[in-house]
Amino acid sequence: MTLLLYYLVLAPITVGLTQYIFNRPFFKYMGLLFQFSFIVIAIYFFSIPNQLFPLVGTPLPTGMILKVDATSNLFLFLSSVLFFSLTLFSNQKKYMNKLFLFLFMSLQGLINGVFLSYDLFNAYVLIEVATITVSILIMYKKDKQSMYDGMIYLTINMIAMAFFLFGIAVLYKTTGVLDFGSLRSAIQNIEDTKRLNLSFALLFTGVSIKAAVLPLFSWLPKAHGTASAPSIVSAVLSGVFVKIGIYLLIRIQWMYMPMIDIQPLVLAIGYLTAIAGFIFAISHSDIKLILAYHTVSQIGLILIGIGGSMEIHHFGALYHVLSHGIFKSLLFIIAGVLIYRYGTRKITDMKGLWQLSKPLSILLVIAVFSITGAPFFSGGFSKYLIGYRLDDPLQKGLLMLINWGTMISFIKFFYVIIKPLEHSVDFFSVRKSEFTGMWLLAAFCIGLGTFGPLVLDHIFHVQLDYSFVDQLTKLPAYLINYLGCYLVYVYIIKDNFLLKYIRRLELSFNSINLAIVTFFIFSLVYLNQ
Amino acid sequence: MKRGFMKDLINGETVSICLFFIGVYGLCARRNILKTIISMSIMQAAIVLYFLSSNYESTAVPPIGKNLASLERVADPLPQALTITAVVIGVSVTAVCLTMFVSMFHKYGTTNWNKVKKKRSEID
Repeated sequence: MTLLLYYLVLAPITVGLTQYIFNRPFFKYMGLLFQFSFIVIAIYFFSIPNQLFPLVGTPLPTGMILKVDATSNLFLFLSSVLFFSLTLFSNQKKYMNKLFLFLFMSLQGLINGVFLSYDLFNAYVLIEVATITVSILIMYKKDKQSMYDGMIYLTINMIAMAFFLFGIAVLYKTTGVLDFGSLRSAIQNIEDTKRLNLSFALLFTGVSIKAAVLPLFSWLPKAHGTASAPSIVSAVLSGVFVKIGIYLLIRIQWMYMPMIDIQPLVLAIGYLTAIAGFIFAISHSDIKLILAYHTVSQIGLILIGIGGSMEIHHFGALYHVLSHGIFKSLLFIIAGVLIYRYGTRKITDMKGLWQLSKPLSILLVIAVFSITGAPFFSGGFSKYLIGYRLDDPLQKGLLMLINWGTMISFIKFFYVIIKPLEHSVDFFSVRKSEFTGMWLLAAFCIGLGTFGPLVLDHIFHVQLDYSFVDQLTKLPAYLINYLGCYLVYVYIIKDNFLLKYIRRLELSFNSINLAIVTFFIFSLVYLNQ
Repeated sequence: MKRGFMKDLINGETVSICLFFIGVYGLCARRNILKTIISMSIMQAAIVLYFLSSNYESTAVPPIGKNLASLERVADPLPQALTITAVVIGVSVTAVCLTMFVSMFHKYGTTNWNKVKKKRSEID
């Protein structure tokens, strides 16, 4: 059993390295086989949750362990599915050379390591190394704009990790331990909660930058929507890498839980982030930037679930992590295919997809239905869980608003399919391997939605009365909402002069840092109240 | 009396907290990319100092040798182990940042964040 966990962290790095040294096409297929085995292991782990595995002989709190529980396994499963389908998608691509494969597979090992490690310092080290790998991947094609994007990404994330490490240091001074379980019990024994505030504020600032919440998300669209990185890098970044921030936030919140309760703050930040995200997404016409800003919006939605009052909201947030990871990756790789075929990043210049490729249109529709929360699709089910039996009319209204915002910003994607082709495009066919990867992700989008209650029961052992017929009854409301959003888009939002100003809003490096400091001071003041 | 107070105030922890926020000030107030990297190094150094000076006792003995159980006070070895790792990561991060900065300088020809940002927005 312990070997399986070592395998999850070390095997991708070893396989990547072997590919790099021997550089034979045969190893590419070997890599795929390994990727598949990770999915099988993650599915197996769902049946045996809460396992601890020692890394060294010494017991906790001085020893080191790897741990897998339902939460970490969900993230593990997401990363395995994404890496498998993305490798399948890009198997025949030119950029898949030995260096790229090495970096890509190492990133998978590091991400798995973060989700399995049970102490803060191990997580810090793994994230730091993964950040360097990611910034090299962002700058992979070495063109002019990617240098700035990669540099901003690297520096801001390093600053985030500096805050995080300082938080660890302060927490270590107060408690003398570093692993999650011992920290939780040590924190519960502290009488004066004011002593915990500084460490919490530092850790919270660090993970908030990583998770890209409201004032701190300026680095994300640049990094995730960068023109120069292959679309699978964007897919991994938006799909699973940004979720590391969410994962650490969940862990930190769990550790401090009875002493420091920031549910209301998380909830408020969640709503603000979600609304800001879709407003920016509506204003842009660059296809990758729309998707990148939407990641911000969906992160907000996940935070709303984490800050929710019922346990089911919390499960909804985790379920949304899974479903968002999958549909956003699908959207990003479709965007990559479209950018390559049409030769432009502007979504308004892409037309007539139905005439050019029907399967690609269907895939796009599946992804858009998932993100807009249609019944029978993964996004629909997780959004249903996040908004489960909400009584507060304000929260209900805001959730509705966020949903409408998402629908409005994806109307442009329907235009891509429906609008007639004006002049001929050299739209050569999509490879079979590319389609296999995309269809796999699309199958997950539908499976996680239609069989949502079953999957939820399997992962978290929660029974939910949400039948097939219940989903069917939600369909008319969804369609009417979409029609309403279409009318709002056409008559109010489209060509609105305000969009131009929103599009230009971009923080400089110093302003981003100022935002970080403000966020830190704000959270410290909030805790000291 | 006053002198004793100052002596208490200037210890590893307070100095490291001040250093950390001097680094943060550098990030907020300086537009030069090189100074940004220097500020990040200052923050790293501050964290290392904090780790080493937290739980420091002047009478503690280094945890080296076999008969540690007979000693009264042994220094906590964990912060030192963590610090070594943090130092190594800090150095490698600075190296990567500097390498990226050099190649960015070749493309944009400036060390100013705002000028780079302006040139970057002209490309889109």
